[in-house]
Amino acid sequence: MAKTVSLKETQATYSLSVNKTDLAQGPLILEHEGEPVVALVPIAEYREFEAWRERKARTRAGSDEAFERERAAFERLKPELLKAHRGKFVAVVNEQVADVDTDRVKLVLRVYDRFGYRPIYVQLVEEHPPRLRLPSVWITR
Amino acid sequence: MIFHYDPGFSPPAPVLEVIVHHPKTAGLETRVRAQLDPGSDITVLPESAAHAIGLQYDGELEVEGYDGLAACLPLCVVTLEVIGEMLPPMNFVVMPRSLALLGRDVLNYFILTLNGKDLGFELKDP
Repeated sequence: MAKTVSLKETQATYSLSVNKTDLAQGPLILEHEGEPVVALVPIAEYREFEAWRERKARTRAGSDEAFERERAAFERLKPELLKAHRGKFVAVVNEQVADVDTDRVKLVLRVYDRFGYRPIYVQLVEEHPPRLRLPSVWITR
Repeated sequence: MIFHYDPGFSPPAPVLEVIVHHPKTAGLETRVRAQLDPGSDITVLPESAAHAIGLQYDGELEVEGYDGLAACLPLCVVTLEVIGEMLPPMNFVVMPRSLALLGRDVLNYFILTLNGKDLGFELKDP
């Protein structure tokens, strides 16, 4: 269970007595004006968190690379797709066309059922796909 | 259901909390604050929400911002829960921003009444 310590602005310096037994009960939460601001956890737990965060970042980067490969494959295949599937959505998986449909959501969900939840690239086969408007958003490039 | 405008905006703006559900993993969800934006053609999800539940991008869409500039944004299919109503899976774009934007693709499922005079709004499922 977490232990809570309140920090008061009038104190010039803070003095905390923390030992392993305290932290073994759960994180030590420091509050300021009633709001939790800091959590102290055992260093082993923090290192585990850091390792998890790095693993998560690597997974994300791997997903982005896979997505880019599928996108590049779509661009390579586009001349042929315009002849065969103009006006329809195609799903590219493993750099090949996996499925085609006029309904994008149905297509995406069907491909996930077939290949598992993984990066795929689904795009409308048109020379110039439609552009939607987000007038309250500042687009930065 | 009646909500108050968020006074954190100047002037105050209609904002509510929605739940983003992973399209293939039941129970995997995240809550995000969303600004109602009937001017937007499509709903925008914050990148942090997409990462929080491990959403994969499944395509991209060209969108034009208010300054006329266009950019390709990643798309993903998710299920959105708004005022307790589970909408069908839909395509949303993802951007690095703190609030979601609920565009007309979502708002058109509801009756939305803005009462700016009293800084409140009503959203209900017909």
